[in-house]
Amino acid sequence: MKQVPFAGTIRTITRDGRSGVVALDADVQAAVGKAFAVISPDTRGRIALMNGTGQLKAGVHVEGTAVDGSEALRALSVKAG
Amino acid sequence: MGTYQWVDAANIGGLISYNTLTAEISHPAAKSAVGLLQFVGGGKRLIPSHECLEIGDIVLSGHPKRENGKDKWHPVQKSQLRQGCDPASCRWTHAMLYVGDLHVIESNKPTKLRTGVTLAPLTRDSHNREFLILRYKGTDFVERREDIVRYALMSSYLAPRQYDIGGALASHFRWRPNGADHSKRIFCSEFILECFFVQGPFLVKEFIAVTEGENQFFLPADLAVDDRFDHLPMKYFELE
Repeated sequence: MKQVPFAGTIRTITRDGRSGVVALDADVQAAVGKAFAVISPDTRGRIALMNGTGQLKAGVHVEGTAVDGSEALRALSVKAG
Repeated sequence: MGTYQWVDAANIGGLISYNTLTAEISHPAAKSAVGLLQFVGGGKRLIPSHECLEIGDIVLSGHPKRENGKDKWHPVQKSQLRQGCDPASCRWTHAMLYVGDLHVIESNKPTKLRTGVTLAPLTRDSHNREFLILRYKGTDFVERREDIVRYALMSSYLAPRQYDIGGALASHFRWRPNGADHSKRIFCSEFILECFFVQGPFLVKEFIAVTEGENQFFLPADLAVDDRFDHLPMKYFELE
């Protein structure tokens, strides 16, 4: 499956803090045709984003690689950026 | 027991023996499924057909209609009607995720001995509940469905959660007293929503609405009207 780069801002996180929705930047949205990417427990680089708190944080700008899905991108790797 | 309205010759696929069942699904799963099977009208023991189910299917359940065609009273049905859900879909009052071998994982109702996220045989309710199978359309779901089920079964965060009786009752009043905080409790359809969102990613906008919205709920009727799912009738075998 083709991987695409993405960038955006973490908007919503799950209650366990390990997954979340990234609202994609406008230029990325235009390129991939999706509004969101989803960080899941399977996404690499997630732990570093938690800064020792065990929780992702809304409002942090991130970038990474993802694969396309029918409703949103599925993040394979992510880092602050 | 009265006429078994939701099962007739059209959706009974024939006879199946216990030995055949144990050859088709694992022996412990067959033992668990048959152990809870109850007789229905006509002295038959009808077992849902594993042939028409696929891993990752959502199974909705609801009370069959009365013989006069009217729905039986159910608090979740009333809540869904008050939420403005499609009236025909409000009869589906519980949602479960099929994990294979005639078993489902669900956030269970508190009337059962063990509440919260549990694994259960689909046969537990098949004598007095009607089922509807929902299957997400699209090839990417086929690639993701086993991850969705793995997350539902194995997540150290999801598994300990109790049934969110407060959330389910609050949906009747369209007011969730503690916002969208269901970190320790969750009810059936929102459990499925979380599994589909995290490992899909599917139902993304619905997850955002429930998480960010003050008094947003995701109910079984919301799944029943979603056109991203195919609707498939449940088929049955008669156990010899």
